[in-house]
Amino acid sequence: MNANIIALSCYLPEREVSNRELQVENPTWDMERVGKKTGIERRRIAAENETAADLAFAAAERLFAGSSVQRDEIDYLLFCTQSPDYVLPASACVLQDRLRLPVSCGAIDFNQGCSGFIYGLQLANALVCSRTARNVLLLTGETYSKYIHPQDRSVRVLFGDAATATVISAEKRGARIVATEVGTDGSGHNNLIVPVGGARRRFSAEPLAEICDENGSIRSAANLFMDGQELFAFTLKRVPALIDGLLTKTGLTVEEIDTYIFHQANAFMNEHLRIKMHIAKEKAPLSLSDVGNTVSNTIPLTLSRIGMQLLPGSKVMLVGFGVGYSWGACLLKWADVEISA
Amino acid sequence: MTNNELIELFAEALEIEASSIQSEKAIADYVEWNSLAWLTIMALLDERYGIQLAAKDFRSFVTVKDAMENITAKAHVV
Repeated sequence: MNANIIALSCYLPEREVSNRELQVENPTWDMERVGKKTGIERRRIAAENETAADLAFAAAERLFAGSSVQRDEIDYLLFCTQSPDYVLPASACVLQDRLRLPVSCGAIDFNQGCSGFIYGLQLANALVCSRTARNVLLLTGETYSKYIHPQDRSVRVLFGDAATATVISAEKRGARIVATEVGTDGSGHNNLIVPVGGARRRFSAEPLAEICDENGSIRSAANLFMDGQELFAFTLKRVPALIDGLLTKTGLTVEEIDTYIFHQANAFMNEHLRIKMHIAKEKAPLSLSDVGNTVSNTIPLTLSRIGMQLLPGSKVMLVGFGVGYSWGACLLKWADVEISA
Repeated sequence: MTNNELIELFAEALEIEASSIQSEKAIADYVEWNSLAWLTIMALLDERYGIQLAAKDFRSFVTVKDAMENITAKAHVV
């Protein structure tokens, strides 16, 4: 028994924030250099009253409108987000109703970031292969912009908002999930974090102090914090081992993979990883200049953009890594997927 | 890895001439110094010498000389 990706779509919020706009707003930032290093020119940002669930709803509606998948065929909904609408209930429950999915449909949120799409594929694969579900709707939706302090250069220049929808099915068509591999090292949890707002440090009535770090970035404990150096060191250590692990599991070599779709962290990091792994440039597309790092959306978003160019039968490796720390990789045997972008 | 190679690497990351690097000067005092230069050094060390430094070790270096001594020691271990 195998599970297959049969349909895929994405949705980007309307508002676009360019490097030029950030430069005008923050005259001390060297946006030309930032743009050159990160490969990011623009990012899309959700409106004030637009949440990750709203974006995911739009991505799912686009999928139903643009593919042969019917709503009543969906028997499991997985929603990957770190920006849920509520502490409770799960946003997936709200989405089941908004998307008019059957009441017999299972629906859960799971909290993962840059490895989230891989986790979603692994869970969906397990649900389908165990015959628990026939058609899993995997949604990713993220709005880190809601957590980012406007004067925090370290994260504001990088992250963009987005959502995607993917159907993983027992039907014998589409891109086959061949193997997956994941891993976790929670000792790095403090290096990419929103400290306040959960149960450990609850929101209080008193305003939180805003501090200015040594790079001139400003944030409070309710904002997103990222230690870029630590994240970079983690990536250099873990990602090559992750790729090697999945290659060993599947009996393949680095060269035998036709396309690598890496989490689109930033061009600098991705290029370094690619060179370190001796992967040819044309095999590892970059797709972030107009959207930035969209967390759990980067991999399906890139797939939706290049999927039409992938040859049936080609081997595609998806590689996610980041917040947690958490990482994961998935090998696909490509075949036509209904893409509505 | 020689000290000269390391100075070249620092200069490349800071996007300045190697002759402008003074080993006793505090890294943070270079006007070209920023978090991106730091990442570039980490990337170049990994790429050229297979050396992966923990970010917290890296942050403990005050001068280029500190960095050179620590990195050279690490290179011998590797």
